Amino acid sequence: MRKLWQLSLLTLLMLALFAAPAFALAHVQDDAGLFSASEAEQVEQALLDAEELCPGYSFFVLTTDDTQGMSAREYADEYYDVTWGYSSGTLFLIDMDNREIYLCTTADAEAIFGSGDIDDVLDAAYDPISRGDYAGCAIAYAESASAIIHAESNSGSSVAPYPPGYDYNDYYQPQPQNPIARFIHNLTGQKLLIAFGVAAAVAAIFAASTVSSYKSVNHSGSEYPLSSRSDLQLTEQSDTLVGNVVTHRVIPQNNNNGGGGGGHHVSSRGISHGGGGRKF
Amino acid sequence: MAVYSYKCPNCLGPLAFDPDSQTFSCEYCLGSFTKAEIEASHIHTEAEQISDAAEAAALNATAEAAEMLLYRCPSCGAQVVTDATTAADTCYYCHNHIMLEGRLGGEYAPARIIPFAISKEQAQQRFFDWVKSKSFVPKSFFSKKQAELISGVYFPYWINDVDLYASANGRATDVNVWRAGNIEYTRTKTYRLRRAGNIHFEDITNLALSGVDRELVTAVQPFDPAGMRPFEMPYLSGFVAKRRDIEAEQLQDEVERKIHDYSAELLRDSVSGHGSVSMEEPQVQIKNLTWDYTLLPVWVLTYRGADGKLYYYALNGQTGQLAGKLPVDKGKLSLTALGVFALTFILGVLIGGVL
Repeated sequence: MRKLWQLSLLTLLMLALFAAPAFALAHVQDDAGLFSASEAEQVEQALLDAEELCPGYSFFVLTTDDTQGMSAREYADEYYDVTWGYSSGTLFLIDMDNREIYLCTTADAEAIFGSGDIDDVLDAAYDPISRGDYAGCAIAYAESASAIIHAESNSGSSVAPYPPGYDYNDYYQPQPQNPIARFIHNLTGQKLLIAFGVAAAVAAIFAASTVSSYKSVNHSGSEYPLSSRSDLQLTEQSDTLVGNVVTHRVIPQNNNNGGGGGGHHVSSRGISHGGGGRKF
Repeated sequence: MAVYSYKCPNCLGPLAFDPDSQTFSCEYCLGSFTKAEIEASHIHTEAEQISDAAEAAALNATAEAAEMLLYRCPSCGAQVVTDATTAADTCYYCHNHIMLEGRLGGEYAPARIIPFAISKEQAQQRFFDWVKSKSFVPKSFFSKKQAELISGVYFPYWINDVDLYASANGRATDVNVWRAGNIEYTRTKTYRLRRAGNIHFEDITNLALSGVDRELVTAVQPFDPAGMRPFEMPYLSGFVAKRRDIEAEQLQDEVERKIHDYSAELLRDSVSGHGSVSMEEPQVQIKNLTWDYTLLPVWVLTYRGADGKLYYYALNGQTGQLAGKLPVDKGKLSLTALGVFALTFILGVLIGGVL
């Protein structure tokens, strides 16, 4: 009897111990403490669903209070590089320090996500977070991002500049080492044509201007030097303000930091990412 | 009419006005005299006028036959014909300098003159220096022997001084653009302008002779009014002088247009501190307009080029300003243009290969 009690107590203790790490979820790192326990579970589930929908892609939600001086993009890139390196997936950062939501895409995901797709994800995530619903924001990311990747993978057609699973080195043409060979390699036919056109234009202008200056009577000054032979005494001088109109227009803001086309850039660790962010 | 000729008090040789020294020098004994000294030594004869149309036709005259003048050279007695507008010339036979008093007197008496300040040799030298500096003139074009004729001519001008009152209205617009946050503001200020005042124009110069290349002769302007002298006949000695055949009334429209344009420019220039300014046509009230009949010095040079064509040049007899059209050595120009092309192309290729 005593042994049964000890065994069951041990079992309960061990269960409690194993249950505790449930807070350390595989797809969520809530450093800013934005999610309650149940919310974190919901977010984790949404991310698991996303990974099931898109095999081979990782999904992750990261929150932080302090980016240690980095921008949202740099912080997200750094975390991704350290954790996964160059592998296909997306990371969603809720940055309370810069007050920005940021989507980071890598490898195949970078290829799939154009700037319109990134905007779609940010739009979906912006609504909840503007209401203070952080968990809802993260779940919106999971749903919209996975939908986009799933649609791309299934459609069979790719709008990406390179097909999924490409190796950058296959397409990169290294420059010839020899400076002369590099010079000739750099000289495309188009550049030669432009040089020819510009040279022809310059020569033609030179010839035409010389002929016209020789054929025209040499007027090197004006017939009547007005300033030295005239005198004006003003009796009336008035500048009357009759109109003062101010108009304005709103300059449309570009919410994608990092340029167009999906915000392609290379992180400080040398790994290429796409992505975009929005302040909230 | 009387024909005048000035003789050297020493040797009775022909006297001419020397631009270098601005005195009168004898071409034979090289003596130099002031105007006062030679006043007494002029001789004159009476000139015969041709009135017979048949005689005029026989002389192959132009439409101005009625005014063709036949006169006897006071020195050698040769019969010389001048055209309607010549008032001073040189006898072709004995090289004496003749002034036709009738064409310089009465209503045709010039009020002022700017005497030649540049001598014949200087004029020729200036011409050759100018041609030499142009690198695309055919080498064979300029040779000293080709200067066929260079003659110093006093051309007749009507010169105006004007006092007037001009007024003009206009508009000015100033645009200011600035940003605050994500909003761009544009402020447009509009002004109504008015400028009016008294204007004085000095020495508006108008050529009073037809039958010459107006563009060429006008291109050597302006003359420096500081060189103006009251007219006296001896200045013409050694040069050709032309009498006017355009009267002041015929130039009235052109002068009024010039006055209008110059006034508009002055009033426009008095506006400052605005972005874009547009002025209306000014209202001009001329209060005083004087017409001075003046003779101004121009060297006229004809040059027969290697191609056989005759080229005309004008040179300001006071300032040395040159005007005229030059032939172009097509071969040399093409070669240089090709060189420019090659250089620019090589430069373009170099830049393209490195970028």
